[in-house]
Amino acid sequence: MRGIVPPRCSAHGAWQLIRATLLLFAGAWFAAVPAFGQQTDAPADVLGEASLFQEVPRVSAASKYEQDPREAPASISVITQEEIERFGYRTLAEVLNSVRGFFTSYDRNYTYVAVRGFTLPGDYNTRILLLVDGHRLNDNVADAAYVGTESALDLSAVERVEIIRGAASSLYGTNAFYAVINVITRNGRSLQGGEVRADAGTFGAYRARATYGRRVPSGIEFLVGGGLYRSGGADLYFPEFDTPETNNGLAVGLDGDRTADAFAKLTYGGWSFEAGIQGRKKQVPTASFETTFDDPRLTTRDGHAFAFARYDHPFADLSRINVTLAYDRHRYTGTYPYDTVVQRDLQSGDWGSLDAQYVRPIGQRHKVVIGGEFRSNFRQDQALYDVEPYQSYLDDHRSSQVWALFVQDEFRIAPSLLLNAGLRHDAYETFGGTTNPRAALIFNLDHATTLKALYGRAFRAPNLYELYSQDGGLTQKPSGRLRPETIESYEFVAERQLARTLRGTVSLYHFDAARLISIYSDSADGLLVFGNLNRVRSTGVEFEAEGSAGPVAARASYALQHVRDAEQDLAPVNSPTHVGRLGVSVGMLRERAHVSGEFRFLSARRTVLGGRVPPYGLVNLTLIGQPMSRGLELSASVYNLLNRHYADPGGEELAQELVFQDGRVVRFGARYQF
Amino acid sequence: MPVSRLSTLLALVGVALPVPHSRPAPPSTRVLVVVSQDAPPYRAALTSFRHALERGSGSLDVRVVQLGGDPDRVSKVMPQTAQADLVLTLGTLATRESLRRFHTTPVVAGMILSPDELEGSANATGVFLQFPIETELEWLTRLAPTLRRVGVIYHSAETRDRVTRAERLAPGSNLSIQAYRIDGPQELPDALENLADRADVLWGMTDPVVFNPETAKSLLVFSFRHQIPLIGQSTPWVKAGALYALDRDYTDIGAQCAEMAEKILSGKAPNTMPPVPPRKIRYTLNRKTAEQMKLELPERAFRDAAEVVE
Repeated sequence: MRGIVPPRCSAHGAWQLIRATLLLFAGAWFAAVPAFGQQTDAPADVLGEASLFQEVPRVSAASKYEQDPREAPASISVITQEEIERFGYRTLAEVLNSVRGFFTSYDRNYTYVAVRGFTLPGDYNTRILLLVDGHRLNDNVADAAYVGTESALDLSAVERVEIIRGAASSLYGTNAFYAVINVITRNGRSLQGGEVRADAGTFGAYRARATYGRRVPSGIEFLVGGGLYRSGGADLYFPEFDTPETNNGLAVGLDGDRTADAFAKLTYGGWSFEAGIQGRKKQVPTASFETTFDDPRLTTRDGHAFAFARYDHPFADLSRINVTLAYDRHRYTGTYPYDTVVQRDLQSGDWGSLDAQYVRPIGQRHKVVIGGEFRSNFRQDQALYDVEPYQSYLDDHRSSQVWALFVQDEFRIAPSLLLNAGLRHDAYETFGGTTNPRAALIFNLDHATTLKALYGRAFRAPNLYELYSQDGGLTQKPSGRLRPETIESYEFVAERQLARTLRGTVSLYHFDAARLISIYSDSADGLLVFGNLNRVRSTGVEFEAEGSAGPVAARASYALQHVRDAEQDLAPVNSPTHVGRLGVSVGMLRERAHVSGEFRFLSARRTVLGGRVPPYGLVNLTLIGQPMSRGLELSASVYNLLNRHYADPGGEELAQELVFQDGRVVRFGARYQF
Repeated sequence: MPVSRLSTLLALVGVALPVPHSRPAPPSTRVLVVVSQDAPPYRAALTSFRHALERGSGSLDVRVVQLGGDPDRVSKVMPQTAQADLVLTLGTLATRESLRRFHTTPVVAGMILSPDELEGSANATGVFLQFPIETELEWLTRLAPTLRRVGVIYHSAETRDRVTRAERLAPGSNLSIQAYRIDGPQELPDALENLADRADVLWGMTDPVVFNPETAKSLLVFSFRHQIPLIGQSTPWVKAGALYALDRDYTDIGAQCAEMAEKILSGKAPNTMPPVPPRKIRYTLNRKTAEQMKLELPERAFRDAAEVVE
């Protein structure tokens, strides 16, 4: 696109804006105190029977995921299964899109997560750590975390999603760079029976799923489920290919998406076993990597399987030990048609891990966590070859091991003051060792207000793709030696219960990420190679309010973020200054039905070519309700209700500077529980 | 007629005819009632105590001292001597203060949590509010028969004794007890975390350090999050989100105290009557919580409940 002007926003201007916004919000924040001040004084000592007659604050199931703001050494958001259903979220990416400071972009193949205004083109979410029930899901070749339809877990198996912001390598190791996303799965007890669901919608999309779970009196609890998803996808027009030779830029029937997945979970006593398998085949309509446009053979296939056994044992002194033994497998196959040949890109990863942690309260003031992790990458293979006639460009077979030790102490300095400090050392065969600390000072100012000062340092180990991928010296050579990326994060968080059902959060943060790995052209030989190149600084402020009044529940957030590439003093690609979210859900017919609306706003972003992606605002609407039949639930969703024409920036591998997204999409669904 | 003769005549008539006059009344029973606080359960118990005792013992001379739940008020309002045939105390504060002052006057204590309050007081008996462990376990198996692993968190030594007893009795009801002792409320999150995978139900034993309005939210949020129903310790807990609670009929507790008082007034020594639990049991059930927890409770459980929270 010509004539696109990159968004300019001087550092001084952004700071002024942040300062002014903070002052305005601080005024409103404290002005709210007299109006909403419902702080409860600490109760006097209660003698005996009086505890039977005291009024007890009512707690509804809806508040079951409220965080206790007093203890968490991070700024955390939780999205519950109830919200997932009510807002009609289809993928983990849509969940993340509802969260303060997060947004995703989609290149019609993979979905990319941006945290606090930061994402790099071609980065398959390697700077976030994705966990399922605490088990790492990032693969061991590209280090990718999948959040779109390629995600290893269907949302119907999800109980809640916990989003933990900030550098957290002190506990989780690599990838816990900007955020950790922990997907907590449902238990058998949450079903106590079966559930079948089906939905269908625009682009010939349909989904079918069955789940069964139960807790039996002996204490055994299990859940099994599986499902299929098919979408014909949109017929798309790409002006970059608008020539008679390339079908006038039309990609018809080339956006198809197919997934299949299964999940099982069994718990008994301290033992739990979990396994999941997922596969996806995606047609790619964008002719990425300079492949032939309008060729249906351009596809990517991803498959991930995991299984783990965990033993968790609490002791009478409130200490506990937790040991997890896991196996993971990831496969990726890219089929890239060129004029004369079809090229195949393969990644195969198999790895096992053993991690253990021991938590022990020491006296009244300390709670210490010590732990370790060992990961053996049995297979980290990459291959790139022409299918016919066969010619290999890359056939790289590797294995490696990683181990780590960590310690964390929660030190209650005073009843209202907590220091949480931790340190973790990771040892890699590729680059050596790295030690990363985290410290959080948490101060409960009063019964309603918590202040947190957070510091963390994290790293991201260079992945195998960055280290060793090449195409036989045609265009790319292996870097061989890369250092880990590092980030230091500073954050100040104020959380306040403004009223009984209204809570506000303000977060002011600064990140400094260095040695970021990206591809460049080596001036010595003109070949592309990965290197530790970029440094990005990010400063921002986020505001969030969530609450409910009668049948209405709402969550609103706004993020003002100022991200700068240190060398160029430019906003990085795909980094908006403003991110706004509003979600409102209204219960009707005695909570038998809900209508939920969501508004998402992103300001302008820079493209890879230095252009500008226009800002956009989207409205999604979902109606969900239980008709007369018990156990039956019907839903209808309209995504992009106003049919806005909007786009995300394309990556380096695309000819498209802008990748336009779907217009209005409708989905109807039914769920029957028995 | 001379006045003197008339007087004589009247005197004679007076002897011969019955003349209305006030016979000396039997002495009324003097009862000192000391009440911890002026709240509905205490009022219900006191009213029913008076009615029952009046029916049995006739006239009552009742003096009520309200402590208003305020220990600082005790010295201002409490008499130093009983000057009564019997002292009825309603509540722990009232009982403790009365037993400290009155060592010989019989004391009937109601609305106390446990019989431990009366330990070492030969002049006292009463009705305590805690249900026997056997009763609690029996109702648990009756109302929620599929919940076998019972989590308990406690702090006090008194509760520890009950927990020990529960651990002994539970296997007989095909139940198991998973108990954690905490040193203070700050340890509650860890204890709950430890119970998350080990308990089917969380039993709210009356332990004010663990179960109070300040900890209620943590307990109930845990309950909903892990779908581990909480057995409340009284109706307010059920209204707040607990699955069910056994509760007491405070009117009947007053009558029960009155029966004990009558026996004492007719000569029975208090120390020959051990303190007893309430004889009537009612329970409150939360249907919404049961549905949320996907518990299939027998419909009869809802029918028989004194109150169902919808």
